[in-house]
Amino acid sequence: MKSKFLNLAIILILLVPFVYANTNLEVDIPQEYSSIHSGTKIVFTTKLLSLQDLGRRDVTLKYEIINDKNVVVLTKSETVAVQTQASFVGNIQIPENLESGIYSLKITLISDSEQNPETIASFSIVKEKTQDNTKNYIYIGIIALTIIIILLLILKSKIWIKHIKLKMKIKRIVKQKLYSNK
Amino acid sequence: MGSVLITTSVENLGNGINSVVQTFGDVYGIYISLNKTQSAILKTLEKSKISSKKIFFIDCVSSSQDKNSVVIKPSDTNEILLAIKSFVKEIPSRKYILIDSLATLMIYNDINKVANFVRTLTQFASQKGVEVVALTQKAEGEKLFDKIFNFFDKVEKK
Repeated sequence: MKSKFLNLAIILILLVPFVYANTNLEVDIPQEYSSIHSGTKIVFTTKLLSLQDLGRRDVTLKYEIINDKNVVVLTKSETVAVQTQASFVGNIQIPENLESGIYSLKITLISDSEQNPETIASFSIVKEKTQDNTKNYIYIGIIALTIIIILLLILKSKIWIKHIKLKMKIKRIVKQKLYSNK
Repeated sequence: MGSVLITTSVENLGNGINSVVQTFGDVYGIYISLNKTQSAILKTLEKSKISSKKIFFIDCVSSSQDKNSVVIKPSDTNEILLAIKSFVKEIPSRKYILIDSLATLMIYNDINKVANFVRTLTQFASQKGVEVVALTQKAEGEKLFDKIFNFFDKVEKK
């Protein structure tokens, strides 16, 4: 499935210069965003080159996230001001419910002209490693148990000290009385 | 002599105590007082011309500690037992234990705790060859009496 999509991507990349001869649209996904978790943002750079036909005006960029089954799972549009060329940093919030897998970011330049240049880049969504809370619970349990034991020892030692003091007091009282009765 | 449980009326309690102390004479006594303070008992004995110089007190009535007296809360039966054991250990010669009165312990402790206290005390005293005289009021002590009379060698009604 992965290789199938890769082949399609290669074909599209090769075809782009022939189909959209006058305007080039490129997208670049930085390395650190090539593999992301669902619920996070994907950041990318969109480059518009050789915009002679369009001139100085606003253009609309349509962003689509497409899964490996070729289904569009997310669409977003953005209007940007351009001149001869432009470069934009964009971002899209990836929904949390998206399954892990290979996805494509397709960007289409929507304009009044017949040409609507497109570009595609792929990235992957990986499942976030769920925190292993078991170890944390064990640590908390050990710490709580240690605190309880220390408190019990302190309490016991207080009682023990109290008893020692009582015994010593009684010893002294008896000694005094025995001595005074001689 | 072993251990004796004396049941008496409230009016005769004082006389009962005087009688016990007089009977033992020159023998060292460990007096656990649950009704009167140590100083009140000393005055009573002095009034009756009974010597108190051989009596050690465990005062369960006074609220403040004194360096020459042992003051213990009546609810702390474990500490009372500890004090009795310490006195028994420190007094070299023949001695006796006098408790005035067992029924008063029930104000501060439940009946089972008092019964357990009496059982432990009589067993300890028996092992050490120490005589025990315990006084209790007739009316207040009836329920308790049924639970504890078996622990004593002898029961007297006055």
